[in-house]
Order: sequence, then structure tokens, then C-alpha cells
Amino acid sequence: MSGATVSRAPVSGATGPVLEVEDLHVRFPVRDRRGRRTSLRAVAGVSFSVARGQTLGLVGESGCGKSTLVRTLFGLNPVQAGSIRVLGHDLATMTPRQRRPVQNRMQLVFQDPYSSLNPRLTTAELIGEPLRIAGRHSAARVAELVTAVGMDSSALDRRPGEFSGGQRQRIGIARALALEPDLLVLDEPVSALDVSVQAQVINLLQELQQRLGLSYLFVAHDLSVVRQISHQVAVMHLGRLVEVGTREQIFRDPQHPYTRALLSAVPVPDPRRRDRPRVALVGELPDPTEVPDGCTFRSRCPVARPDCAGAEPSLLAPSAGRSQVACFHPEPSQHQPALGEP
Amino acid sequence: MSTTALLRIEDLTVVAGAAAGDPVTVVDAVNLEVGEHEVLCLVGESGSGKSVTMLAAMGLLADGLTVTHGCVRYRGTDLLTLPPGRLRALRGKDIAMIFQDPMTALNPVRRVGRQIQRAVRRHARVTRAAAWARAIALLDQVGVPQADRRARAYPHQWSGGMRQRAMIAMAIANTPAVLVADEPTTALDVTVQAQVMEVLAAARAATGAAMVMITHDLGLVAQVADRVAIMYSGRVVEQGDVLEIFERPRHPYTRALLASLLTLDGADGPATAIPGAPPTPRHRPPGCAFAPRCTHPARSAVCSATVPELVGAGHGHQVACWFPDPPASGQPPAAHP
Repeated sequence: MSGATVSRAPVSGATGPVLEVEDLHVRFPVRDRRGRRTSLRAVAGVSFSVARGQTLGLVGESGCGKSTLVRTLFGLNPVQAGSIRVLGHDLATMTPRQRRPVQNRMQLVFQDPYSSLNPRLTTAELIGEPLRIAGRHSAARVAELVTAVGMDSSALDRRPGEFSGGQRQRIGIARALALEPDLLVLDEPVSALDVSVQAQVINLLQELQQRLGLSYLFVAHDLSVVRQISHQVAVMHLGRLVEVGTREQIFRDPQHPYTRALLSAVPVPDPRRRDRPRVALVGELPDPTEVPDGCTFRSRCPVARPDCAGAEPSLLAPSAGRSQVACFHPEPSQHQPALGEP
Repeated sequence: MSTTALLRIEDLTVVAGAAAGDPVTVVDAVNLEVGEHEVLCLVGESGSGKSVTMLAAMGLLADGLTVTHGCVRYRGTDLLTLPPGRLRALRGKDIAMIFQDPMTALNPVRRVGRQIQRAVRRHARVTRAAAWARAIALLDQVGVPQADRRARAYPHQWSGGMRQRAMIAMAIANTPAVLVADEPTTALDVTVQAQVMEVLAAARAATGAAMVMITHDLGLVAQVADRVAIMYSGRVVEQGDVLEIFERPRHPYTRALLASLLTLDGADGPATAIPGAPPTPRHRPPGCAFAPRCTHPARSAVCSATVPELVGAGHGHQVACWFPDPPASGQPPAAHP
């Protein structure tokens, strides 16, 4: 990888956040049990931003809306309300022609490196495809990209079937980097990989970030992976962000009972720590077509009180160096030795 | 090891594509045993042969895979030479299996309660009504709310966590002596995984069943295992008590696997990656299959020439490595002459 430089073109709007999402709402029309038209609330008032050179980790369980959010960023779902700004440009106010160069600044890396690469194309064709579409293909650039992701140039003539999952994910990353994006949206990029290979890909992503000044929106359900790579972390539950903070704030001093439950559910790889206390959750995610009144977490919440049914809590401004939290009864500050220092 | 093993796999070898004249060894001379009430975790990456080993033991191998060597003894009886009828009578009663994906393991066009009722009646002479009542009691036992109502629903109307509870209910329906759980929580979210693991622990406590759990998640292993067997490319490379494996791992692969774990309270800085990728069975290198990825300082020509045998290393610990790390910590690995 040494010596290989991936050149970057100057960008308009290079100051400020790379991606800003403000009060985003996404709803899908569905029919309820009696066949009446209603709508499913997939994303409800989500706001966040990704700073240049930083990683925002987005965590949540299946059905929380994180994949809907990712698809919406790439224009694959209609936006009900709210805005998506890439490098300061509001995507909704632009014509498709204007949008293309801005949208190219943000690229997607898929979860499954098996189904997301065309098996009939060679590595060179896969990595070169975005360059061809943009009308700036060159063999030198393809060779540069394949080296940048830690692969040998002998890989260029081979097809995905000849590679392991980790190698395929490197090809997916090279393809996403082809048009010199500022932001990569990584949707569960290592969850399909073997444990011994996950660390390789995480290390590659971190090295690329430092070298190219990339920003990442890293979507995952594995909290250990998110902790390894993120600067900021957002926790999503049933279409809303319930806690947003720095990596330290979320992992050492979580305030929302859902964040605390998620952290305590992760099995600790230490046979001597089997009996550590856990925040037990009852039940599963409520049906998103029948979102309960008030806080949507209250049906599973171990500390819910009657007033939680009144209104839906929104993210409060951060105070005293703690995270932003959407909860009426956040956990008081305490540095938990179990999650902090050894 | 004890002579009172409940289930013992001896020298099991499974070959793929033998009929097509292109044999590839998928499981290579594997020895494993589980004692009464014991939890054995079988750990490995995809393609390590961990699932094939247990499917072979239960006579459930897919077409194209054949056992070419070895035996599987359950309370002394060799399951591999048992007539099919007697094996079917044993499977689901004495040895029950919990599959990774309950959506494909459950019949989509039969009500969930009906499927459990059928599992009960398969092995016990009871009336339909009694078996239905038992199915509901079992669902209740594994924490399915409103079990009598939910039992009448179809699998697609259940959530993933609830379906896995139904699988557990079906598996414990005939109070088996051994549960074989193949990645029982991989498809589940972490909070649901914690709930299902508790249900599984309660079910084992209620039935006294031993368990073989197949998994790649070392966090889960640390939480439930009594003993651990680590597989790599079709062979067991290390096995021992859970504390031995986590605190005194002796095989370089086990050590690397533990070092590469990302945790919630690990040190900052880059992750410790294992270079390369596990070989496919067809491209398994000669000698120790881990040798090309091994970074052990004493690694030598013998590693890529001869397969190391699994040998005893004290404290019930076995390791298959030419240069196993010394059991006492703090000592540097012995220099090879």
C-alpha cells in the first residue's frame, strides 16, 4: 500500500459537515389488519451530521430504520419531510443533473460482498465501472485503487468467485473510492465476514480514512465493531435517534436505558465474568405500524414510569459533557468500571 | 478424558464429492466428546467443518457428503451403523437439534403449535389433545406470551426471537440427553440473543440435557461453555476447559482469534488482524492448514510439510501444533533447534 496515492479533486463547500441530515421523516404506505390504508413510520425526525474525517457509527436492531435511512440518503426512498445536505447542498432542491456530481461525493459500501459484485466482471472492470460511467476511466487509476485497498495487481484479471469474503469487500471499497468521494456510507460492511478477517477490513478503513481524510457513516448492529471505528455514535430505536454522543460518552457513560441494555446484552469474552449484572429487556420491537403513544421504548424499558406514555421525548441538548439523549428519566452520571477502565 | 462420555465422536472423516470421483476432505479425523450435562462449544470460522461434523454425527449429511471413516457413539451405540429406523427413533428424542435459521427449519404452512404437537407424538404414545396441551406448556416454558393463542399462528406471523423459542420448545419436547445447537442466535439481534440464551439455559436446567453448541462467537462461548473445541479447516486444532482455552491458549490460531476480538472495553488502537483468509477444503495447504497465516516465531519447514496431531498438553488440554506455546504465561516460546 505504501507509495500509492489516491488523488483527490478540490471540492466546493469543503468546510462544514460533509453530510447533514435534518429532521428527516420517511413513511411507507401500508394496510392495517382491517385492510385500511395507513402508513408505517420508518424514520421519524432524525437529525445528525458527519464531520470531515470523522466516523459516525449508527447502531440499532433490525427493524429500527437504519437501512431505510441509508437507502433514503441515496434517493431510493421518498422523503416525507426534512432535508439531506451533502457538502452544504440540499439534495431536494437540485435538478437530477445538478445532483449527480454532489451525490457522487457520497458512496455506498454494501453488507454482502457476495451479492453486491457482478460475478461476471473482473476486478478491473468492477473497479473501473464507476469511472467509465463518469467518463474518466484510466487503467492507471484502477491499478492505483486496487493497491490502495491492499490487493495485488494480479487480482485485476480475476473474478469475484476467486476471492474470499474479505478480498471481495476490499473490491467493494475500491469501487466506492473510484470517484474520490468525501463520504462512504458503510452498511454493515464486516458483518458477513469471518471474525479473523473483520479486523483486517476495519484496519483498512481506518488507514484509508487517515490517508484520504474520508468521512464515514458506519451502520452496524455489532457494538464492538462500532466502538473500534467510530468517533461519534448514534443509537436508533424504532425510527428515532434515542442517544447521540462521542464514542466515550456512549460506551462509558450511556444515559438512555436502551443504550445501556444494548451494551449489557453483548456477551463478554471472559469466562470469569459470567455473572455480571445485565439490563434485561422484555419483549421485542413494537410493530412500526402501531407505534405506541409517548416514548416508543417504554413497552420494553426497565425504568419506564407513567409519564413516559404522555409525549415522545426528543433529543435534548448535551449538558455537562454528556451525550444527547431522548429520555425523560436518563441514567444519572456514573463511570461504570465494567465498561471503562480494566 | 472420561470413559463415561454421553456422545463421543471418534476419528470422524467426511468427504465431499466422493461419488463424482473428485473427493475433498471436509472433516478430517475429528475426535470430540460430551459428558452428561456438559456444554461443549465447537468454534470455528465458515468452512471449518464444525456444522458438517455435527450433521454427520446425527446422520443428517446433505447429498454429496459421505462419512468415510470413524464412528459416533451415543451411550456406547454407534449411530453411524444404526439402522435408519432406530436412528430416527433416537434423533429428536435422545439427541435433538436446534438450527440456526428457524424460518427455514419450521414448516411455513403448518401452525407452530401443530409442529410441536407432532414432535411430541413422534416419540410418545399420547393423544392429540394431550400432545397439544404439552405443546402449549412447552411454548409457555420458553417464554412465549399467550402461548395458547400464538400456537395457532403460522411461523411467518412470529418474530425471529419467538421462532427460535419455538425451535427450543420443539427440541426439548422429549427431554433429550443431548441438544445440538447450530449457531442458535446468529440471526438474532443482541438483546433478543440474550433472551434466547437465557431460555436455552433454563431449558437445559429443566431437562438436564448436555449441549453441543456450534458457534463463531467467542463472547457466547465464554458465557456458556464448559469445554471448547477450536476447529480450523476441517480439524480440531485445540480443545480444553473454557478457562484453559481463554486464559492459556496454546495454538497460534486460538491465540490470534482471541487477540483479534473486538470488545466493549478493549484498548484503543488498531485491531489485531490475522493475515490472509481460511483456506477452502479444496485448497488446503499441506502440513498444518494454519501455517500460511501463522506468525509464530518458531514456525519452521515442518509446519508446511506434516500435519501436527492433536496431543495432550496437560490439564485436559489438547493441541495440534508443532510449536505450542508453553502453558505457563510470561515465558517466551521455546526456540526451535
